[in-house]
Amino acid sequence: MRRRGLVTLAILLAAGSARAQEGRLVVMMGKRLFGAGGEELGRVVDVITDREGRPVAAVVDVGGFMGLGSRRVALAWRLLRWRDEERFVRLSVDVAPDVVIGAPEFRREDPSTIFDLSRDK
Amino acid sequence: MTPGAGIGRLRRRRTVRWRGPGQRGLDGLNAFVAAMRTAFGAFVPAYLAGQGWTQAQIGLVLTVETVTSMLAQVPGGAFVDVTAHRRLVLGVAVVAAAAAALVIAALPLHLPVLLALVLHALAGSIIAPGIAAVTVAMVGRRDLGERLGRNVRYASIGSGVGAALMGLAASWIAEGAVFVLAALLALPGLWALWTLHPRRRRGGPAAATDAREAQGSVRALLADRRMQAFGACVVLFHFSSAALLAVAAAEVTRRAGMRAGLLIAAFVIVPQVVVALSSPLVGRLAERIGRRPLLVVGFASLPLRAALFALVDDPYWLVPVQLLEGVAAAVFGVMLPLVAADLTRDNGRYTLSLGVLGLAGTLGAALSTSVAGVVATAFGVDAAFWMLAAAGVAALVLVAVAMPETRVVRREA
Repeated sequence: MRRRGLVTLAILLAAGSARAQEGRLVVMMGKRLFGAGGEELGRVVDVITDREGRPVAAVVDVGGFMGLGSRRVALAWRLLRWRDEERFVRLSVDVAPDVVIGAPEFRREDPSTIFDLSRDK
Repeated sequence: MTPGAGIGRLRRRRTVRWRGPGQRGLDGLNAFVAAMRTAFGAFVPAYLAGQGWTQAQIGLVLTVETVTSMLAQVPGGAFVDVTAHRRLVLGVAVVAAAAAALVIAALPLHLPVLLALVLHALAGSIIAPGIAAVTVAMVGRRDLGERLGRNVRYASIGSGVGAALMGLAASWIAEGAVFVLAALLALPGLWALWTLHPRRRRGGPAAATDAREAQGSVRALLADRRMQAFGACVVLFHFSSAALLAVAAAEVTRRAGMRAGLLIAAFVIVPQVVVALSSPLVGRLAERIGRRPLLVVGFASLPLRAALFALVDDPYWLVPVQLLEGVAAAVFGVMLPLVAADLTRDNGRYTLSLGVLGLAGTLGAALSTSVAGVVATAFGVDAAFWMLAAAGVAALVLVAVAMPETRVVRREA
């Protein structure tokens, strides 16, 4: 029984360290998205591309508390920033957090629900 | 017999020892098992999303879990009624849930997680009626209200503290640590269950008390008019209340941005504190003044709360409105197992009735979320609140018209 516990713990630690250290590639699914000020906004749940496969937007679950009240927004790809921090790559967005969280709910049948700044400027 | 005499008699024969090891054991059992099961709520989708699962994959395993739990509730309750080894069965179910948590932590792959969630759903169909059955076996039906109130209090404390600890574990250690912690919480839960052993009710083996009487048929149970009325009340209660917080939380997030997290946390914690503080009182009152007045008060809070969510504009003022959810949850949490015990007093089908009522609640909640979601998308959030308020009025009317008083004031033997 005790040995099984130790094995479990070892698997956990291995899995944890494997995830903490990103290699040359960044897995987008489930990646945390941060605001410009370092506040955690949510997780990437999907990537939208155009018909040639070029990425257009990242779909992110933002806001809420313990699964309650989170919203699904799509952020235009060009708003995203990748910053190399040795052990991992930090994904952030250069938009005020309240604006990101209050962005329109993403609906796949309606491309205008993808949030982009150019429209507002 | 005057009601006054009944109250006096109830006071005189208050003989339950509330500090006995069995009572503390029951407190601990409720608290630790509730804390353990918290991990299977909000933490599973968050953890799986962090492991790179797609939303479709997460949705699928959660749906399989829900369907399993729906299918298992009635057979689970029926099984707990007829088994002669309730404590053992309950212990096995707790161990199974803990094992499921460990599997989720160690192997976040599709098939293992799917099987673990199915195992947890099956265990859950035993755990809830199992705890109720052990409670009846310990205190008997006479002081059941007060003891059930205490069960609800400790379950509320357990899930609140458990969620806080798991939140810390998720952010400080790893999201998988939540499930290791859940499995560890099963150990004190099992220990608490073990301490119930020597404190069986005087005058016979507790576990067999009701199994011997299990003679009423399933059909007879479902044909009981009072059971039908109460089942309908349970469906409407959940239909009116389940979706309210989810709809409100999404709206608050849209409007309040980063501050919404704290507000929603308050929405969740306030009712939990109310439940922890008030449910023993609810149980005591139910034994003194009867079930009906409390049910009416609890159900009356449903439309009131939904209407206030539609009318109050400032999300900060919704925090005190959540006191009403606490009232409803305390009343409902105590009354469901208590009224079920009243209705099955003579046929020994107590936990079967709990399974049926549990299924009714799950159906009501599932309907609530889907219908409210559709209404909110088509007609706006306020329309969804008013729809839920209307359902609450229907629930209140049904309780007031169709639900008889089920308390039986027994003559002193």
